[in-house]
Amino acid sequence: MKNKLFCSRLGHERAISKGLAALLLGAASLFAWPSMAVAGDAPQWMHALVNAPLPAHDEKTNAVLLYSETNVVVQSADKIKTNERRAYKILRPDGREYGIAVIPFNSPSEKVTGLHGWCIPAQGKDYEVKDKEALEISDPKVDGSELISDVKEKVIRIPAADPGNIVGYEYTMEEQPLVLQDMWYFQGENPLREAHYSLQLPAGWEYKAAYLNHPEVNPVQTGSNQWQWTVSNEKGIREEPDMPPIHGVAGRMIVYLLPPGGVGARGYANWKEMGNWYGNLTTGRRDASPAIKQKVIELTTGMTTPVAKMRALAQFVQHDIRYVAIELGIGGYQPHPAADVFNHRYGDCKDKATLMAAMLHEIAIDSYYVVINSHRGSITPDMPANHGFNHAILAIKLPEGVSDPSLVATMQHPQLGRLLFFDPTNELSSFGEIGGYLQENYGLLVTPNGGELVEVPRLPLALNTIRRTGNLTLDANGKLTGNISETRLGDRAWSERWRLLHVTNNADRVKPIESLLAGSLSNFRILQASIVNLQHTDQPFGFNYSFEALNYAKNAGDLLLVRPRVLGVKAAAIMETSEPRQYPIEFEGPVQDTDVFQITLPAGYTVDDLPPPVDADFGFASYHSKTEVKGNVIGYTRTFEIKDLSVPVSKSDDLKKFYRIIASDERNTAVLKMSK
Amino acid sequence: MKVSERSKYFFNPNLMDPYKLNSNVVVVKLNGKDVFCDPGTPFTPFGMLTWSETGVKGLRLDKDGGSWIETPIPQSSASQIARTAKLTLSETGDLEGKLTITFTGIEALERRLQERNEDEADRKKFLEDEARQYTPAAIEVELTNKPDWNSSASALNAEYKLKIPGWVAGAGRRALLPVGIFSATEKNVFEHTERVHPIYFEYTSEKLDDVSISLPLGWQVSSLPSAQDKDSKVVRYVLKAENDKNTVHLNRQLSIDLLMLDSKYYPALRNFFQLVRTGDEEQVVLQPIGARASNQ
Repeated sequence: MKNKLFCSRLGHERAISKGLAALLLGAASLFAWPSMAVAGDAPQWMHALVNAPLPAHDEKTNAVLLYSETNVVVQSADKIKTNERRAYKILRPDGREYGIAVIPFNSPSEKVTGLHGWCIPAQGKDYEVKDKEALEISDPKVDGSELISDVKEKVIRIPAADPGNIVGYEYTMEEQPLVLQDMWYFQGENPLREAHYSLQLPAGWEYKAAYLNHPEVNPVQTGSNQWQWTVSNEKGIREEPDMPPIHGVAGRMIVYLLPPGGVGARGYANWKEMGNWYGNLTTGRRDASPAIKQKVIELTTGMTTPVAKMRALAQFVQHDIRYVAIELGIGGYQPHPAADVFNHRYGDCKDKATLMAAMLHEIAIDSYYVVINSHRGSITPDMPANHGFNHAILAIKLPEGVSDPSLVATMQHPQLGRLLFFDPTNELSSFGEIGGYLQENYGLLVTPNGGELVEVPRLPLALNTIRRTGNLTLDANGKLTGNISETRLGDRAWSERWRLLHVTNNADRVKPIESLLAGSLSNFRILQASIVNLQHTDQPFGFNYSFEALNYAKNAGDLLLVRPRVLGVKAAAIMETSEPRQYPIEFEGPVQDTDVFQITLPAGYTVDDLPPPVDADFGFASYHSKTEVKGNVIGYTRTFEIKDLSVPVSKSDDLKKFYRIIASDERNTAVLKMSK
Repeated sequence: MKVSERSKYFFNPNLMDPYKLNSNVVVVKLNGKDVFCDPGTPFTPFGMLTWSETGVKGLRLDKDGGSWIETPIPQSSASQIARTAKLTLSETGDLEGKLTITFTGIEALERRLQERNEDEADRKKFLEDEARQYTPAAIEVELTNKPDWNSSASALNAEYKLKIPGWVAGAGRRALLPVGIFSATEKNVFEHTERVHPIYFEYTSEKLDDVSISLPLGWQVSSLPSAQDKDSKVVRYVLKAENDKNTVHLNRQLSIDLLMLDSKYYPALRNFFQLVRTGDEEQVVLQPIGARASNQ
């Protein structure tokens, strides 16, 4: 989904950013690298790696991380100094990207100094690149990301980053931390040989360590208030289609820094405290200005029910507040005041949630921030508190007695009562529902009593659906004509509305239908097409169209071969790989799609053979299809359901089998015979 | 000879912009004929140019300054993807056997250039993915040979072990064998009715398929699709299905002999590809030996 849901700042991994490295590698000539590197000895810590055994890897491994060292010195609550060293051995041509070291930092609260890079070639003299040869750049604009942010990158290009060579770099980061917490990213896409993390605290300080996706590692005390952790031989995380997000699978250590007297408003060590921290950040931000109060009156006058009022406010925040993210400093976490968001008519996800909360308060409805990650699986219930979030939505406390059936994205909270989840950033979702990306996702519910990790509910399958019905007629030459009516709900509607949002001419509006037909029909012509409820997001979206398909049925002697599954492809090829699956398969959301096609046969033909029915139910998903004859009509019905949002690795073969069964059914053919 | 690559520019000599003459080719006079060569591009055979240097104007330098000439456009048969498969149909509807893909001319050159700096593992994956993209169904494929990536002269030959599970579908007493085994790349081209810009093919090329399928014991061909030959001069599609001693032979040819087509001809081109897809969807009807041949 390419949308505007990705708002808040994530923790920035201090390592090579793969995407940017590839971009820079590809466009190297566009960047005027200040000067060429010179011969210079690589440091001893890198030379010690020349004959080091490599961690376990296969022939598809681009590089291995031979060594990583992170030395964190906390000087005060306002100053942390981190020295970082990394060295990779490049094994394959695609590993050349590790010759570009990209160090992200927030300016001005963080400063990168002493960036050096080296290469130890398999043959010949070492190369060195110095700090003065580094470039400092702002992040390239990514569609859907911030308009303005203070995240920058310091970049050096290490020469001779070729297979067989070792590249490494070192730098120091000085930061004025926004949150008293550090994250050690020791597992990444490359197999790791050895990584060290050390922590030096001032007198009287303490720390608490916790782990994401990894067993606890015991530190060694190396001095007064100084500890060191070591991990080795970690496997690399190779990307697979539809795998969980990296934050949900990579081994990481969180270090909560605890100054004497407590962390106060500068940090947290558990979810409850994290909720307090976020609550403090947002204090006063939801206060309604006179203009907001006036607008609420204007929007809700004449409305008699709380649901109607909430719906009106939701419409306003969804459609009249433009998504623009300006995230500077603490602004990556802290929303702008509601009054500013209202006055400027723009804001990011947390700004929209803030304004919505302020407006709801004016109709006497309480609401709470839910800080979440728009990639389900980034935060899991067993994780310790961490800032792996990138999005903010609202949990609206529904007033007593409100029982509107359209409000389905709800949970019953033991203290707060019935809560409705709402994402004001998603301008195309219906009030009362949430997109698949939020369902069964874990978010931090921020209440006056602190934070609490809650599971956002999964909606019924039938709320994310394509219901397609077709009445079609086949002639003796194989031409198929008829009408299709398609009703879409949930994300199935959202995706089409998003695609058509800025399309104004009719030729382009018909393109989604053309693409759909082209996926299933070889030779077709659309005779008429219309779109239903494009703008009315509270109503089901629909396509109605009629078409003719020449040679749809194929003549074979006195037989006519016809595929009862006229339209729509449910089979997928994501499991068609010889590599054994390593990670679970994540679906975007629950799904229930149905197709019902009635094909009237040409005069003089009867059915001689029909495809068999298919009944495949693997628990996590099911597929049922049936082809029947009634009189001179072939009826084809099928139902495709995704019931679980995650399929474990142990069931990946079942998923492969499932998709193959569907592919086979989609090719199945009925045989018609000329009557005697 | 200084030429302007049409991957970057459509060169107009009247504009007198020397920077757009961005590439060099060598013209060799051989037996009175001009032979165009590109010794500066790796793997380019003698007498061949990269696609972006074909069909372009260039300045042939001589002692009088130079003259404008045009580089030739090779015929589609000079750049082929030839897919030869010897497959066996199992009782469960799977096709299994050996596939050989031979890339010649620009088809070979482009692939060699693309994979020039890659290693063996990447090249293997590249060729296996190539085979996957041809087939409109899930396949199991494994490259079994070591193609010659470093040659300038020869074709690029890739040999595979191939399995297409469930390719043949059952329909009651019959089984149906779709003929478009390597038709996936034509499946979704030109799907929209409206076209604004001209259609630009980078180079002329040809796909040739020669597939033989041995039927399982006890099965026979009941019906074959009729032969097709759609020849529109600049594009041609040929499909032939034959039965010989319980082996089905499928031959398919798709030739593209054009580079640029004005959008006003788009409906005709779209119609041609719709006919290609229709042909590729034809099916061979199989039935058990002894079953009454109801369609005879």
